[in-house]
Amino acid sequence: MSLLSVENVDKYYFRKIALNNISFSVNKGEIFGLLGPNGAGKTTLIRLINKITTPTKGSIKFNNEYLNKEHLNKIGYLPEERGLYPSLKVEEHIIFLAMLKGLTKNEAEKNLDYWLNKFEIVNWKNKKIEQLSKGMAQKVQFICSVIHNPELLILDEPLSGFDPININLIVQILHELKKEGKTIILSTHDMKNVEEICDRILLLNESKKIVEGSVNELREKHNTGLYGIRFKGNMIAFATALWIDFELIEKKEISSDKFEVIVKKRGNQKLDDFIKAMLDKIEIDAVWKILPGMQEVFISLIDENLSTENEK
Amino acid sequence: MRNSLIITKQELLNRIRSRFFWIMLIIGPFLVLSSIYTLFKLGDEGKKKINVLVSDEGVIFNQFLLSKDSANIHYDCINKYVSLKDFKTKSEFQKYDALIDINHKVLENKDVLVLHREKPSSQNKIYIRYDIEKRLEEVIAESKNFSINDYNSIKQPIGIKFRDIHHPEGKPDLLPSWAGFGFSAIIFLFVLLYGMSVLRSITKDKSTRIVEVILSSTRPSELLYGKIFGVGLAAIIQFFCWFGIISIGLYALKENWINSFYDPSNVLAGKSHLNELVELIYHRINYQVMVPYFLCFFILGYVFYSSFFSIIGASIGSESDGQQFIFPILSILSLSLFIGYFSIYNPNHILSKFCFYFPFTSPFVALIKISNGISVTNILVSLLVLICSTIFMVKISSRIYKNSILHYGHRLKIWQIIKWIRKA
Repeated sequence: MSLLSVENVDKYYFRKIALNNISFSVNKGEIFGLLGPNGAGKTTLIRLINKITTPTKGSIKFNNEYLNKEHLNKIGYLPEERGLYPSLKVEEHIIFLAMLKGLTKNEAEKNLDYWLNKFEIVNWKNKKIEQLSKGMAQKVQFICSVIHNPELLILDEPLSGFDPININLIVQILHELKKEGKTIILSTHDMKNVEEICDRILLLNESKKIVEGSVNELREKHNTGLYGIRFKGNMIAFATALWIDFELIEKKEISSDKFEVIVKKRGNQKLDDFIKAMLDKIEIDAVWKILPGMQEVFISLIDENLSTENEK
Repeated sequence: MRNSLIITKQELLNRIRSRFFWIMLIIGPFLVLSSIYTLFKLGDEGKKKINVLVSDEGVIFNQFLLSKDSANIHYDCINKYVSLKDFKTKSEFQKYDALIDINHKVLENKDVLVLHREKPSSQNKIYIRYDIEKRLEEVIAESKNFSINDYNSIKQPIGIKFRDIHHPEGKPDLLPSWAGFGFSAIIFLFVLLYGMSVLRSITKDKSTRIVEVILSSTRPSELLYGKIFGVGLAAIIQFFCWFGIISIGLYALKENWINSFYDPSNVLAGKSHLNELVELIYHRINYQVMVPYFLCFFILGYVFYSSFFSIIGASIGSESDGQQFIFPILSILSLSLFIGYFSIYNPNHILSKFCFYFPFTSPFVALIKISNGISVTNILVSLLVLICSTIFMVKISSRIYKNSILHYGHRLKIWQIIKWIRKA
């Protein structure tokens, strides 16, 4: 069931188009990746969802209702370029933003204690923002976006600036939030995170939608026919036995008679038949499909889009 | 509305916690009180030792006028009329600093004119007044066969007017206008200081990018109103603190320095005998009328000009860009204050009349007009024009603010702003 649906949205800044006929939906309880190169329109789209700006054309629905001001209290937002009031204390800052999201002071204080404990930063409560390190400030900003227990959490590059330990902590929290039924829109350039965290993605380029779909489906779709095989036996025997439809791309010697190879499927020959034929020659330990990473999918989709545009 | 209140509260707390607020709270009243005391002392400057010629054509004083208490005043009496022209030009009178004209009907009209070359000090004025009154009382009591005590019980005030020999017709009474101008100057100061605070607060939000987070929770107009009202509330609190501290300071000045400076008997004789500044502050300002109107024009003027400051704050790429954009608004503010000054001397000039209603200048001109007395209808019309203009400007500024606050790193072009205004 969709929590957010964007329908035929255009956004113009004076005569410059920032979003061109964008439609997609985000399902409840999923982590949705918003991808695209710089200037693709991601930030504009996020601002529209947060009602910071309004679309020139089209509509946005939240829980099947047209997005309105009341919905903003159910949305949490962590922008890429984050800001804090340096002169305020951590507690004051978070409570101020929580109250703007509709919480009473008591509710905000209660939720604040929960999150400070979760991040193990209770001692910072009365510290001024200007006394915090960059990483500490990042945590405070993250808390500001989740303090009001939003249904939809929009995170723009949430992991930038964190060390690996804290990245792990945030990823873990995102999975917990997902388990609680929260929906998360994640805008990032880090494709490794997309593979690890996101269920589905939307790819934008030059203000247009390029693709929307699940991460696995997209990777499958862009599968280049690579397989990994680990076997015991003679490498020469394996190489000579390769069919014309399979090409040896890479080989790695694990021990004197153990190898790991990557082969690429070219023709219509089935992998099963290839393996069956090989069983006489070598002892196969494992066979696996090598799917392209999101990085490759991303570049491939952008390149495809560019060539289509050029052809036009 | 709720969000505006939360932002108002936050802005107010930010201002009150800032060092600037407390510095201004202490330095402001101190400067005002020091200035008043300095002006009071300067107002007392004048020739200390003076020779006075008494022209007693009707021989009423009978050559008898003595300075009883002051060694600084020397009287010479002559029983003939000395015209102003003779006193000004004839060499025999050049040694005298002042001429007291005792007209031959003084016992009936009780009016005495003192013409001076150089303004005498306040203290000498009081002694001259005192000496003339005492001698006149004696003469009147003697002519009616009353004892001095009987006369004192039925006496009427004697009008003694001091006039410059170059302006014997007297100067128009500008004290009320100066009182109004004082209030205008306070509005100018607060609009400037707190308008700049609004600008700084907006540019800070913009440069730290916190504005994006806040705008994901609230409307841009709510954020802008919260900022303007929060900063404005701090200004009002500061004004009332100033008002309280300055009132206490003025009371202390009056009790400890000003009253003791004068002969108590003369101070009791009437308020018009005091130094002009003292008279203005303690007696001529009708605070019950001026303070409510001041607050109306102060609040509206602040909100009106803050909307301009907020447009600048939201439109500039960085805080340093702001300097050149502030210049036009500072020029308008300064010009408005100058027109207020102009209105003191030209209250009926068409410019003064127009600026009384013109929203850019009315907060600085209206109080001068009000202090001189103007119909309530005119004041209400001026206020109405200012209210409508303020609402209009706040709407326009919130539209521009909404569109420009998220433009980072580059200055907006005028045509973009005009386009937003037209959209609004």
